[in-house]
Amino acid sequence: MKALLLLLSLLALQDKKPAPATDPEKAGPDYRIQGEYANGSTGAQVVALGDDKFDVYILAGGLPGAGWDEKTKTRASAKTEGGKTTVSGDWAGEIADGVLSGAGDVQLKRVVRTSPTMGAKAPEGAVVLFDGTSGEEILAGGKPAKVVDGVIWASGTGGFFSKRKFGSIKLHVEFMLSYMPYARGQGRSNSGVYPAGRHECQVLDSFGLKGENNECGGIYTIAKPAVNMCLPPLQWQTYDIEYHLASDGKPATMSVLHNGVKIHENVELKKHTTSAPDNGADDTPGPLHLQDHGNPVAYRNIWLVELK
Amino acid sequence: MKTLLAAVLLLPCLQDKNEEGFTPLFNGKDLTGWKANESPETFKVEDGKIIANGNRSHLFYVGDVKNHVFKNFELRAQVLCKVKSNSGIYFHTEFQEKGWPDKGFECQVCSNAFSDPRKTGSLYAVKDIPEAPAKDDEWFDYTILVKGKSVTTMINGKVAVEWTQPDDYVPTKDHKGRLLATGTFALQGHDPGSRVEFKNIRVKPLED
Repeated sequence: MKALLLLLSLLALQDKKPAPATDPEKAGPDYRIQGEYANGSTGAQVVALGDDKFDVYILAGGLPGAGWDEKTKTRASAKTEGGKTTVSGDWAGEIADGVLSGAGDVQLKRVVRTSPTMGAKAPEGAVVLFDGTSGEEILAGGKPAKVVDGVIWASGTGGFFSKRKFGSIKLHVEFMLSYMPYARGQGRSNSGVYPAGRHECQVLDSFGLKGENNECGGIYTIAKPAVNMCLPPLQWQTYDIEYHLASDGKPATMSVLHNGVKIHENVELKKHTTSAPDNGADDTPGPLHLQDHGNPVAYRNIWLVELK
Repeated sequence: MKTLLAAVLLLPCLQDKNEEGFTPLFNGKDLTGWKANESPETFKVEDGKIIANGNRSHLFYVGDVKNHVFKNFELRAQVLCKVKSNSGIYFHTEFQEKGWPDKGFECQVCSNAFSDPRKTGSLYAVKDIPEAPAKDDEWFDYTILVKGKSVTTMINGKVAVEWTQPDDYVPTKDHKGRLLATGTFALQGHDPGSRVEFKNIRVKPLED
């Protein structure tokens, strides 16, 4: 009986957690606090943890990819009570009306960064896999992907596969993470981009975290990104990936720009990701795969250039 | 009374022996002779101290002593580093509008509890020491001695780093201006989580 009660209360607890938010308008007040803050010489990332609580990271020099010294992170916590968000810990301050202010006369404004490659147009000769209209070139369960308001959502599809197979490619893809403030680690808006279906460039809401090889921008379990360029959920982000098949005894390689910042350069891929759907030889073409990891993650503007 | 008078008169003489030839760079009252770049509000003067706490910013000495151009010198300052704080004293540098100074060397101030493994006394990224020889939240004496091609940092009178610039020395790509030359001093305001205090900053120019 006790065990049953425990189980029921656990289920009740789980039920309290809202479904992932896919619309900023419906994401709640914490979502408007979460995000990036900056002035010319300091940056900060505020990560929503659910229940009006946040982690706050103060970054020396500016935001990642925009001045941060890539070392100095002062960690603090924030909580909203009675409509007021107070920051405490190794740095003290408050967040109000889109401004994070506190110790050392610091004032940082909330900013929404856009990748310099956002909306990049497919060049002549490129293969357009998805331009927001037709799902004909990107399949789910062998059928054209279902297009909703110009995007495709990975959850509930079993993953997307390009209709054709490709060898070495230059790929542009845009993605948007859903907002799951209560989730942690690999359970927080997880998906993935697999050139040739073999090697995963991770997609995950690891906004504000260290940037490990299993977090956003990581080449899964192979290489961590040079810097964690993950933006907050419900903001569109870009990957610009150059992928080369293995040839002449050299392994396949991947270079990645995440939101326009180089995070990987010619990383040698000597093993397949465990969950790779294509385990063909590394010198043979394979389909582009976008992973369904159970969480809503949206994709749009997907095109690639075949490399000789 | 006479003894007291004698003592009062003698005291400065006694101190001066070790302090002979030193000129203050900071007047203890305001930032006359100093110029902060990108975020001036990072630096404040309180109770005879310069406090660095806020956005990244650097406070350059631009005053009259040697017309702020130094080659060989001994610099002394008292420094207090709060827990989890980072700062530094640059030499052979020059004023720049923003960013981490390109020119010159940084003598590091860094708490053992701070994430950077280069600790107080390090000649930053040139010769580093992994453990700070000074305690957090306590005043310590920082001495920087530059003579010809050699640099010595001392904490509380004990040598922390000795480094001689080799004849074939090439600075790293990230820090092209890290070469012994001439220039001024700068204090670092590293980040909002850091609070470091400086006082009694004085310099003795040495023969060039």
